[in-house]
Amino acid sequence: MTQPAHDGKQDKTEVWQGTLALMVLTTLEALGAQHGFGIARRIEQTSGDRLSVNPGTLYPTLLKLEQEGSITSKWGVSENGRRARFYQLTRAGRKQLADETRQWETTSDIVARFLAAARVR
Amino acid sequence: MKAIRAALLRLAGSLRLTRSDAEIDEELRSHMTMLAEQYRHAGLSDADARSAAGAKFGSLASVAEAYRDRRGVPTLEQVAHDCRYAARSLRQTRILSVSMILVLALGIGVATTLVTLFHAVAFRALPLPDADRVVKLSLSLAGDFDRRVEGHVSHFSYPELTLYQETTRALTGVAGFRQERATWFHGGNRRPIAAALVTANYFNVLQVRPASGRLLTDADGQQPVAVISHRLWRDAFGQDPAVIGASMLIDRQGYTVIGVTERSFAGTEVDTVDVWLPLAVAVPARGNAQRLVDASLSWLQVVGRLAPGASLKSAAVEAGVIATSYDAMHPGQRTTVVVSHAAALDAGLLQSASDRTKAIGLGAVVVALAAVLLLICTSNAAALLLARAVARQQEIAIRIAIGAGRWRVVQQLMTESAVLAFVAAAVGLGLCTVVLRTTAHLLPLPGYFDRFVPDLPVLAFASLAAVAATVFFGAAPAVYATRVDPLAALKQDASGLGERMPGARLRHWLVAGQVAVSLVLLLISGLLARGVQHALKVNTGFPLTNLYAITLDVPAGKSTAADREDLVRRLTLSLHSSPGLDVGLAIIPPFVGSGLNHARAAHMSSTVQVHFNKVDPGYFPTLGVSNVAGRSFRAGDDRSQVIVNARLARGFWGDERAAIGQSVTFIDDTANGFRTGTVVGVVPTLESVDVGVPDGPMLYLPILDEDLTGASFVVRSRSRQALDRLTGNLTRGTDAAAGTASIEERVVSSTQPARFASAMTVLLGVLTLLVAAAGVYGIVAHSVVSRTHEIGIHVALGAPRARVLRIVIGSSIRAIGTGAAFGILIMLIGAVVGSEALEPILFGVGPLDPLALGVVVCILGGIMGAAAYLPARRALGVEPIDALRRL
Repeated sequence: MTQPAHDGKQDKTEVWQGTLALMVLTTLEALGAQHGFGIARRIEQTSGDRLSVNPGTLYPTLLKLEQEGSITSKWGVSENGRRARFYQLTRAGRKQLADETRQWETTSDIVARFLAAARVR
Repeated sequence: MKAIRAALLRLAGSLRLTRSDAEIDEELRSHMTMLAEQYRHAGLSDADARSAAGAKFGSLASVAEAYRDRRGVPTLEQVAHDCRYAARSLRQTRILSVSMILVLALGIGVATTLVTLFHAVAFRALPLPDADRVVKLSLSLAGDFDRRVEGHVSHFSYPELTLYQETTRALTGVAGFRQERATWFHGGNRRPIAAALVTANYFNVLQVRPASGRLLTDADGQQPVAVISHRLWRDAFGQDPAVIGASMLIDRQGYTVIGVTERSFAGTEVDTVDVWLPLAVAVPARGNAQRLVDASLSWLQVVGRLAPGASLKSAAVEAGVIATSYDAMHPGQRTTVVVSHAAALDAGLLQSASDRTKAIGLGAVVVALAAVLLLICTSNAAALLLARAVARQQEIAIRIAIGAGRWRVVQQLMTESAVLAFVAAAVGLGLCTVVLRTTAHLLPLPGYFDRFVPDLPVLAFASLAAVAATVFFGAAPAVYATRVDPLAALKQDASGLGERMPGARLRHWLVAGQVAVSLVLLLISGLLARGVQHALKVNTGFPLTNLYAITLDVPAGKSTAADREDLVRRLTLSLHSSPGLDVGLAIIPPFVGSGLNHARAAHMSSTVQVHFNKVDPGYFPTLGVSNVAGRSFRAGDDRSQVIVNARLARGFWGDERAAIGQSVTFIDDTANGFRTGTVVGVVPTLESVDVGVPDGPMLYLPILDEDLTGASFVVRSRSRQALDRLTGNLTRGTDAAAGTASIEERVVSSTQPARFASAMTVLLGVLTLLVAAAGVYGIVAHSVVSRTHEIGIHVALGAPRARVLRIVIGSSIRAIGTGAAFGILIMLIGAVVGSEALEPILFGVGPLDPLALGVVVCILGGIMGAAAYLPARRALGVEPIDALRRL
């Protein structure tokens, strides 16, 4: 899903889909039930505004996670009194998060070693 | 697991069962609003905040689209969309669509019906548990033996059956049965009923289940009990459970009903059964007690069930061993036992291997004809679709011009064909169901057919036909229609001029192909019909009208052989003394069976197998047969005087006249060995054993007093009522019964299946011709309409009518000619290559029968010419001004 960056700040990196799922799960674990805007905002803040979350990528990812049973959603009211769809981790989602965190750590550890080795040479 | 769950949810999403479009919209809008609020908090004005939020969020429509794509399965939704679009565009050209659907439905319906019938008769397993373990045993005899046949020569005698029952290990059980027409005295009426006289283990061997009550067991073997079919229970007893224990009077013997068979079972034969009676009770009760001891009478059909671990092969080997031990007791006889699966085709109607080959050959031809009809129907639909595609060229050009890929447009057009084809398949299937439901009882089909529901193979065939039709009739027009130059198509009216008119060549070959195929089809069906008619030409050699056979049933036990003889004599006397009756006696009346004997002339070194019958002096005069040479039998003739038929005379002595006075040696059952007699007369070769088949060499012996008990009367009487009165008077007060059967009805009913097959082929041929004619009509009509301008110009420039006509139908006539030439070529090749394969089903008509060929070509030419000329006449009426104004 290629979406042109409309915000004009070209220095921001767009989140790529594979890692977005992991970020969504982490955010929901930290915040509990949250709506799409809140999730996007939290991810951008956590990245120190270096990431920009495109809604055209975020919502399909949320739907995919829901179809896979990792999260559920229901309509609710936001802190500002607006109707919004809230997403929440399921038990299967917590397990998936644990699995994927471990996997991600292993991968990044391996990649870090390679990079370190390259720097030494 | 996760993937499956996700896939299912997406499928549900495609059906809008999860998020609705409105929900998606609301969720995204709330996101956008929150974004704008955030910007307002940061100090932007309302308008600036909204535009900044819009800029960051991106296009709402495209985000929503990405969201929706994830919700469902995009390709599936595209197909659904294409189908909806197809339905809409087909509705727009309603007449064209309906005619395409009808043409295709006709093809699919007819093909499905024929395949279903063929499948049911040839391959459908019996509705029994482990039906593939049920086998049929039939005999094939060779050598010198004296054998009488009441049924078929492959049938068993009762002692033979007993030997198999006692000896076999490869079969868990062997059961014998005999299907006969019987009379049921029901509520004061005589009602014909199909009875099966069965050994007590019959239901056990076949593993039939009862629908009510219980079925026959070994304990019932000697009891007067009856099991009725589900159909009889329904039709005659209204499914009343109280039928169990009721009494049925069948041919003067009372039976107690003990059970009803399950609905799907109506016997193993093509002829269905209404009631099953224990053989040991019913056979003597019907006056045939000698059948249970006669070792040389073929009358019983035999079925068995393979034991666990046994195969057809091992059962056949074992049967061979048993046959050898049986032959040891009957010197000169060499018996082979054929063990085969008890499929419906093996049974009843088709008892010999050659019958089977013939039936399968005929069936294959019928199925091939059906496939060809389907082909013609689809090519007709293709021609109509092509006409439609030409008319839609501008629309297609616009689609391609605004960026639709060619493949996408082809996909769209193919979807339209598929929608057409599947609607047509549904209609065709409905047609097939209605036809089978309404005609099942007219056909020689297994009993379960009276409640025909399309089963899996039938549905599979119909959908396969629909898919094949889609590919065949949809692909060419779709590919053709998308081969447009958008610019040219948009710039001008797409119809060109003359022979370069779009699709002209494709249309030419469609017409030619249809003509060729229908020519071949018509020829084949014509030949088949002629062949069947030829086979059916009932040329018995004697008139059948008013001819009856009367058989006396005297229950054994209560009366002695002398009583019976006396009864026969009294009946003879009273028949003879009645005015207007011709009476003869024979031990085997016409079309009941035949006797087998072995005979040789003085100059021959070994005997040959011949048929024989024992008749009295009145037999030939009653039939209306006069001698070719010599004299008829006289009172007082004994076994030293014999009569032979012309076939035997020619075979033994070369000439009918030369036979008189010659001596012939044959097996005489009264003398327990061979004896020699003198030929005193020669009669013409009749058809009296099998309908439609001239008798083989036949030996007639004079009937003697000791033969009288087994004899039947052959009577020619103008009034059946008078005959019934006569026999009624005679048997009143005795426990005997006289059964009167019309020989003419017997002959007519035996030719029913062949007549039906012949009618079916002709019907198919006519259908094909009509469909092809409709196709040619449609194509020419379309070409006239699309060439109106051109014709107008010709007329305006002063072209004579003949020339205008030639312009319009010239190409069609050429196409018809090409097709006819190809059709004849195909027949020629077929005649050379397939003459041997076709021979058995053509019954002596050559594959290139000039009469059939000439008639078919004339009919086809006439109808096709008319189909082309009728729409072309409209071209002659074209007003040049009108035509040019529309340019």
